[in-house]
Amino acid sequence: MYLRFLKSELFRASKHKCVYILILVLAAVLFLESIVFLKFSIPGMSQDDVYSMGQEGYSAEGMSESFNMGFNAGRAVSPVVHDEEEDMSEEDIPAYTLSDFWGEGLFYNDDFPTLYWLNVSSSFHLFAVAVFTALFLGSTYKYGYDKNLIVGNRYRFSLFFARITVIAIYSAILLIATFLMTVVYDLLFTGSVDWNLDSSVLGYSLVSFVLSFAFSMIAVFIATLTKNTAASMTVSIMLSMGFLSLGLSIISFVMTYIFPSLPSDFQLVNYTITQNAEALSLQSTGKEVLRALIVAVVYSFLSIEGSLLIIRRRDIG
Amino acid sequence: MDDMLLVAEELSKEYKKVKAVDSVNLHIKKGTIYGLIGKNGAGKTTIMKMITGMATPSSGSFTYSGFEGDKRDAYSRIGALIEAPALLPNLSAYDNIKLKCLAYGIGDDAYIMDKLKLVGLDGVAKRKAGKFSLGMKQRLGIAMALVGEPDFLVLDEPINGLDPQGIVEIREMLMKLNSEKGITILISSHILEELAKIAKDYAIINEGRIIEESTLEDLKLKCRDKIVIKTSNTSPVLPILDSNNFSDYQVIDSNTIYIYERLGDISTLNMEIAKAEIPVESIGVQSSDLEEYFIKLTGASAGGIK
Repeated sequence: MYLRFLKSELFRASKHKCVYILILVLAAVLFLESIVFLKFSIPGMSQDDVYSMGQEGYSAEGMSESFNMGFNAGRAVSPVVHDEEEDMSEEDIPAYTLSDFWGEGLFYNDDFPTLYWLNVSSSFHLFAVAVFTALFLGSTYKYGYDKNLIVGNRYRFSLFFARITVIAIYSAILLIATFLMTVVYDLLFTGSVDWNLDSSVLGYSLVSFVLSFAFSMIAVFIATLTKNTAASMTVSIMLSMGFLSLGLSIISFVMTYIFPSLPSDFQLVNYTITQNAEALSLQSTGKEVLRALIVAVVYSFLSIEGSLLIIRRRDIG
Repeated sequence: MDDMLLVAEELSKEYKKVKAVDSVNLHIKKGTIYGLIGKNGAGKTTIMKMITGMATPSSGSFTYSGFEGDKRDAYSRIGALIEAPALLPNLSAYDNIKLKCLAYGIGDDAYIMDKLKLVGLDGVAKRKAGKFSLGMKQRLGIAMALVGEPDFLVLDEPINGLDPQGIVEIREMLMKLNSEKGITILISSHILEELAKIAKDYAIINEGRIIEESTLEDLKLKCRDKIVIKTSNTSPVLPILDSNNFSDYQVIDSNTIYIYERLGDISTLNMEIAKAEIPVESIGVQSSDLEEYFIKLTGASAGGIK
């Protein structure tokens, strides 16, 4: 029964325009991100501005940390021409021409794995998963579509697991698309791909996928609970953008006040999917990876159990 | 009981302490077309949802003939169109049916087109369901309900929104499915005139309760034209009826007699009763159709007209 439902739901997903639109948007976002990460230190700054900053002892790296696509902040990038310790001379600043745009003429010398990590950790794929999940599940509630499938074969859990499989597959597709697009843009903007691939890229991708799946399960739970596309999409997008961290920071502060035995750096936000997705890097140690995996498993389990509980108690239609 | 497809006993459904369906008993025979008549909000849809497994009864039970215990095997033989057709508007009519076929693990292109042809939508197979009129959506909903070749078809107000021609086509289609394929059909409607043309058995539902369950013959009998005599005591009237050769009559209660024949002889009959010095409160010909009968029943139940 599960396989039949999976086939049917995959067909339904393939007919959803959002599947393709989100990948196109992902392509556009990664295009912009790759340009910025490879070609520009800070959006809106001229070469003279960058030169002046160097002369005044400021680092373009510090400024880049304030840049994000609306989903993330705090990443570190490595400028080619200078670091924090040395002054910049005028020769260090590349003089851009239009031809530099496509090919050589880097501002940062990130290799492919770093660029891939930058693109993944911007968490746009979480945003896309949130939108897809809300639309994919929301349409079944909006149009009462489940009535067609459940009358005749009342295997609601099989249908649920078929749906989360489709969402997991789409999460994987988004990460694979991120990888492939990073290859294309790296080639486009640098003229070659500095592969430098090792097992850390695969490990990072797998843990990112597990986190992405866990996040999608939260989105599934919200969609199941609200039965409303707009509400579930809004909440899921807010979560993907890390809005939850604001509230958790306050709760963490209160908790450290009430329980002085807690470590002074105690932060609940460290136990959220988005925080772990952003904090994860190619150099993440075993402890960080383990925490990310445990967080993902706990959230997935709770979200799936919560969704099943609602489904079990709710009538169809 | 062997000829029964579905027997429901004391079926009830409560929503937040409001009883949508209250102790309903249903007896649906194999191969029949069973009409569920009731006003909007009477509980028709809730009953249909419960017997198709879409809603869990608060109390009571129902049994499909030959399917004890886990009802999922029975549900696999049901096709249903309950409330509005559950279609995905961004998909074509063809793709909507294909989705269900994939979930059932059946059907190919010819099968899908056959279902669309059955409801007269084969010419618009590739058009998106969202662009369909209400009537076309109803047809597509019926086509979807027929996927899997069900033995039992549950249709909730299937002629809603159809034009007169469409109503005739759907009616003929359902009668054909019933007579040729032996599909048992449970159909609800508030258009009684239409239901009367198709259903063989009826249940009249009001405020969540079945007021009456009867056959078409019983209903026709109750609804046909008749002389109604109201008197303080019916006993002395009966010999007069017999002596005047009235045989097709019915004593309804101690005050009322229905006579179903020789309606033109009402004056003569009135005179004969007067001669016997029996006080008559009223005597007259009463016409009643199904709709009138239904209103009387549901009105009576609501404490209204009688």
